[in-house]
Amino acid sequence: MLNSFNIQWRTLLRRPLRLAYGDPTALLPSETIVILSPSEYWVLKVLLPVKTSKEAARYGSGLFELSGSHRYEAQKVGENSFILIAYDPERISEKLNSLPYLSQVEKITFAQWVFDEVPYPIALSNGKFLTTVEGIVIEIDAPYVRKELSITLSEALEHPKYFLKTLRRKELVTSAFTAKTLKTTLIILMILLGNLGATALRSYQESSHLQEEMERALKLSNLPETSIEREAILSALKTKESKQLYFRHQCKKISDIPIETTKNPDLPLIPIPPISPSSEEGLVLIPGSKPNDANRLLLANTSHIAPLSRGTRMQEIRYEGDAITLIFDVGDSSTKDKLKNEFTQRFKKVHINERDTQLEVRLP
Amino acid sequence: MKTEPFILTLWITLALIFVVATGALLENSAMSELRYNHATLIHQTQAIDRTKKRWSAEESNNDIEYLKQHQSLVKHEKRGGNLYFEFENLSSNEFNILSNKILNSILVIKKITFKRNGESKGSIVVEIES
Repeated sequence: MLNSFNIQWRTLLRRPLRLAYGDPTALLPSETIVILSPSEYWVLKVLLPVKTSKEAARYGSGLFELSGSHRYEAQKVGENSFILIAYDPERISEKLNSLPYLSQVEKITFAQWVFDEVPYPIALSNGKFLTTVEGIVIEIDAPYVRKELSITLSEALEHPKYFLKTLRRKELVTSAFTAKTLKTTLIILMILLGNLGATALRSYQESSHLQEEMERALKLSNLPETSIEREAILSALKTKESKQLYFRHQCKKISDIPIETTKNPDLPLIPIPPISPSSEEGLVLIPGSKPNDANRLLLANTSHIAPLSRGTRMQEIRYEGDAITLIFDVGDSSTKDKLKNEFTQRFKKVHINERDTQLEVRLP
Repeated sequence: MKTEPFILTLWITLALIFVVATGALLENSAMSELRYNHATLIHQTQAIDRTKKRWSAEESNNDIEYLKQHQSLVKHEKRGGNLYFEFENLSSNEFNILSNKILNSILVIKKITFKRNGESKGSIVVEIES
């Protein structure tokens, strides 16, 4: 009831639709809706288990078995009963574009949607007739219709129509470039071009700046130009540093071995001065050592660790750049074994030579 | 037909973009290499400078002076690029301090010998890079 009222109210506000069928003889205004002849599309009346025409249109591709470029429309004509239309948008678009009188037309519709309720055959200018057979509008030759009942096309279009399902012409070929699309694309491309240009310019300026900076750095450091040569210098320096630190580290490990040393109680204890600030940049010379710690190498072994046995003395430590050699005076053979055992446990590589009461340990 | 001038402009713009994009791509590739070279140079320069400075004679100047002025120094000479020191008759504490001083320094030790002389005396012979 309310729906019917709405339709009537809107009918009062709207003008009847302007419809045209067949090839026009004059330029049609833009508001004209062109009716497509049944020869431009395919129609099928089907029963489908769906409620809306939108859902029914989805069955189009399966029912018509046409190529992928076709589109489908559906019109509900009863409970689960639909009339499906298949059309080729490119073909229709080409046809409309080929007729100059249709250049301004913006909307199209199908003869099926306009004439399906006309009970009489409609005589066309080409001698054929439009008629409805089992709810489907078709165009047939004169011998198959009752001419005496026919009406003219203008009579068929006389009855004003206010609402009609239509298709927009520009939606027929979506891939085609419109002037607006092209303008937008052009603007975007121009922005992209500008951006690329600006990036290239900035990149060029940065490259010049980096080049200058590199030249300046090379000049100041007096280093070779090639990266490989510089890497070789750095590698040699690192090796030298590692060697020095390794030597100190080995000394610390030696100092941890519990060797008894003799202290002379008569000698005054001299306060140990602070060590020079050599631990800059995180450099650890003797791991664990502190500036005021007593040196536990050789003579003044203050280690709390119990000595191996009395009478064992470290006589000499010699370092000649590649290995450390230690010479011990050993009291007896059991102490010698203990000492050998200490060294083999603490050092991965060790060469030990025995000479009577002496033990020579070589640490590569 | 109306869109033809736009299509022409579009093609020209696309061609321009292609040219500029190719140029920018080449420039970017060269730029990446340059940035890498620059970063490598800075890293290497700084690392070389830092390591050299750390083990330089200037950094160990105080330690070298200490060795030169030590009361038990019996021999001191320059051998090629190295400095040679001989310390004799060191008491337990002197030996302790001196060995600690040398080992806890950043002197580049080429050769060193710690030796016991008798019950409570020791000697140190050291050769360092100058």
